Amino acid sequence: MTITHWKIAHAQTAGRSHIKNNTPCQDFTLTMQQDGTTILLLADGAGFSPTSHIGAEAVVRKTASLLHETFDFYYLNLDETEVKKQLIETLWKEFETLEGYDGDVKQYASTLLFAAIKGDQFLAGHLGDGVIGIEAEGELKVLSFPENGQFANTTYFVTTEESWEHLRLYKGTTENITGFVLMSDGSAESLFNKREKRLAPAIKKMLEWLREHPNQKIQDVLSANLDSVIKEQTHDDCSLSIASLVKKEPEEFVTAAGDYLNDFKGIRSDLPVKSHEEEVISEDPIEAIETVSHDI
Amino acid sequence: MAFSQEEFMLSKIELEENPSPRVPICLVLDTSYSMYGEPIKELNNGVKLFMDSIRRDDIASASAEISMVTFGGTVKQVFDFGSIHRQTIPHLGVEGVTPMGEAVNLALDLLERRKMMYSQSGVDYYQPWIVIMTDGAPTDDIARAASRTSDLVNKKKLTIFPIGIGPSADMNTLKQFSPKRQPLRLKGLKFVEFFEWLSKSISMVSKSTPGEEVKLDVASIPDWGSL
Repeated sequence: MTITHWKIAHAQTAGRSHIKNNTPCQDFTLTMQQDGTTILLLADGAGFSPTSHIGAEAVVRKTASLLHETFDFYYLNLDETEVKKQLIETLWKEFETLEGYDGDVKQYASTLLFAAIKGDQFLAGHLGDGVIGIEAEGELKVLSFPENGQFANTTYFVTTEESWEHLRLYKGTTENITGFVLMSDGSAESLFNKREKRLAPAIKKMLEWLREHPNQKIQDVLSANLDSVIKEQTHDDCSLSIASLVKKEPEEFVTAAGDYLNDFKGIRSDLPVKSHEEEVISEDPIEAIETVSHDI
Repeated sequence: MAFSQEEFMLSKIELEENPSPRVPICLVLDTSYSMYGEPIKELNNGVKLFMDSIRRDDIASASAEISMVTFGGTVKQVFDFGSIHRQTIPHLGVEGVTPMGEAVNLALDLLERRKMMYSQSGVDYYQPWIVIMTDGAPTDDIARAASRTSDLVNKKKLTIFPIGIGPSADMNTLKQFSPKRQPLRLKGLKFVEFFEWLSKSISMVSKSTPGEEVKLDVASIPDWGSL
């Protein structure tokens, strides 16, 4: 039995201009797997608001919870306008609950990018700049392009009036798709060719790293690359959320390390999670793998 | 978690290198005979300071693209938009009458051509700027040029700074180019102070990120100009 499983990692880092001005990173990312749903999110807080990082986090966390709880509603609903309006309205209501809310949602302005996978279905959404990419049949493709205003320092935010009109939704099956990547505009400076409208080869490499190594390790690797390589080509914050599909035969796990195997403990697994230090395969490799594969 | 730097670091060749977003600025400068003497000398000093100042700023110099059109006797394109590092600081002389309308039209044509080039080559750009400086009144018809700039300003596609030099500058004419911002009169011959302010403003724009509202340093305008 072939084991198939989505592995996930995310990272963000403050841009050079924010470090210089002693302002926080305004990008916020999250990846999660729960109850059979894999979710990637990213929001880039607007430069004009000193509290946009709070908005970015709130947007990410609320959208994560909505996707987790109501993936089917979003996926199956044929009234796309209703879906968009409902999502934005929920996010605006969320802002009102935040400590420090001053009556103007613009203080929490941010973009929004997400991708959610359940079974063989995916749903992605994009409002503003940044890029959503996929790896399909071994090739990188842009799923959603940045939507800027007419000038370099303009885009659309969740808090823009009638922002639902700028929310682009994508849904389909994951057949042939083996990777998702969300990036903020800062990361896109290095990972997206604006002229040729294509993604950088580096993305394939990151997806491959994630396929072969523990999630936490690749999360650290992404952080290090954002900090020392990607950030060099922009003054803006940089962030990434990625997911890689792993397809392996059970025997391929025999020599895998414990922390790698732990990433495969299915979200519906009843297995107690073993500590990262413990080599699962040292006890009874085949039994461990069979149990894991059954749960995925 | 420790990991091998070499094994897990991306190399430049795996990344894309996108061009910096550009800030196109066109200086439309009066070099008619009335600018003879101290005014043209101070204008030359100001232009030199402006270009030197942008060149010293890493981010602004990668973003700012300056073109220069003069109107003195005839309209001359001193240089088209391009990298400031490849442009020679000009020495402007004075000559003849004041064909301001034709000069502004040429500036707008250069700007349209540049914007098309940006779009075709996937280069992002900020809102373009036009600075018009004159010490007198136009000797040609400015109606079409004023209508074009006003249309662009009203559509938020252009920032325009009309600047009058000395007591004979026709501020009512300058106002026709700028439906929103009042033209300013340079205090004395404070070209250097104006161009210093302009280079700082361009620097701020070149560092702005999406959603960031660039607030011009209005407080320091009285150092060089007045309504």
